[in-house]
Amino acid sequence: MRRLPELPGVAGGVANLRLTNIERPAVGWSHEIWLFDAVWDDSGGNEVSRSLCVRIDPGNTLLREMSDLGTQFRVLKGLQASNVPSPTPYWYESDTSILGNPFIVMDRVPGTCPNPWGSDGRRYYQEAADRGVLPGSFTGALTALHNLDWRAAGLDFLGVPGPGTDFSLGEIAKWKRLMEQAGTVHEPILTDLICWLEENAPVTERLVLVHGAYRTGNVLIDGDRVSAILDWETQVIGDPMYDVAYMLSDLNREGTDLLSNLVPRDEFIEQYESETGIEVDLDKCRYFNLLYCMRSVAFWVSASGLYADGSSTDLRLARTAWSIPVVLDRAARELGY
Amino acid sequence: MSDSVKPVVTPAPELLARMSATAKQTIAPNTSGPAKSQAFMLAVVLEKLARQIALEPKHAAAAERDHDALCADLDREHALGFPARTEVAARAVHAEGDAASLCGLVSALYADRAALGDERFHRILGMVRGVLRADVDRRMEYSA
Repeated sequence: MRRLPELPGVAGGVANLRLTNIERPAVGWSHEIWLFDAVWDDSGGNEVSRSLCVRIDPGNTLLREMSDLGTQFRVLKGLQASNVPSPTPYWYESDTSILGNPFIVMDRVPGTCPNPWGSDGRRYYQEAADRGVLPGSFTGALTALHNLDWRAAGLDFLGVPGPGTDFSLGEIAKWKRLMEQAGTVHEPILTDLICWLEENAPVTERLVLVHGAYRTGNVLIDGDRVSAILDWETQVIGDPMYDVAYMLSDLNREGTDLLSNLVPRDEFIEQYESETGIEVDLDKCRYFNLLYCMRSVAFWVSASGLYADGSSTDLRLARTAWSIPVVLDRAARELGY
Repeated sequence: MSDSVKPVVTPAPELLARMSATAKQTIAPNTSGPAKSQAFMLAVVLEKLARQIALEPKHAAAAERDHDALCADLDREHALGFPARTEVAARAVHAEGDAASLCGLVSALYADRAALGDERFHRILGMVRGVLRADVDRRMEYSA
């Protein structure tokens, strides 16, 4: 309560604070998210209201310490002066005596986030594609991200890969570490995949801020426009084709040729290249698609491990043990067998 | 009295499959909130487990046949000589035949690629990949 006066446009005292319209959106795989209105009386006795969002790290997320809220807070802060649509972050709190776990408080950005895997969500995106506005906004938010001067935004704290293959090899090492945290994994197709990835790592010529999971379902939409990019857990300074490959991947669409259930492929490539000046490299995208297979295995191994060691009782995590062969099947096919 | 045997204990795969049906058709519709999605997830987990256990004997026999065939292929290749790491890894595949030993062989093949030469590397890796393909096909029967 004592920090509310720090909010932009808020001055004077805060009395009679109450939280209303408390809502917990669909339960995700990582942080707990709560939406609410903070309502209080200022020193003049006027009622003031702000819509806020709190994101809490329960300490047993899929990405473990990689989804550190302190890092997310700094990334969101860095984006504030840019045209990348993102929520305004207000506070990061590492003191676990307050809510039990670290959390960040940010603006509640208007918009919805239809689930692209459900029939309602698929219909929503198809209708938005037919209207023809949202696809351009969706691609435009990604190009804004890739055009960002990340050094000026102070985001080099994320780590800057060296020249050559350093970015790709760094990602492989990162996802290997996540699996090692979960336990011992003996999957020969995974070994084959990792050896292939290490042997064929592409050279990165240009570094951008990569979101790492840019798709519908990870952005808020308000009136056929992207109002905020969400889920800042896999961001990294790296090769722009890492995001482009994710956009082009058929993993992120269902029952349609539209990328992310929303954007015609040719239109995406044309707009992306024209707005960023970066040519889409399909060979590199194929490589990163295989790296995403490895990352998916790492996610599922981590998730399954959290259930196995008793850190979580969520049966969705137990179920991911059977997702591992599905991704390995895909990886083997991509490798030609 | 009939001579036919009437079991009083439900075999494990059938029990799990029926428990899955109960979770999906009886428990989930009568719960709400996070418990409902957990009940549906319980149904999915039990269904996959039931199928995995039911297929296990057939899959284990097929895996053993694949392992024997791979060992025979490796023996033929061994006659041409193996670089040190591949030699050790191939021996482990013979002795253990488990996923860990296959991981070791794949790693060794990549590490010894220059010594093996491209043609041999691809030929031996292809043998291993054939076994891995068959294995993942079997796992997909209950995972997909």
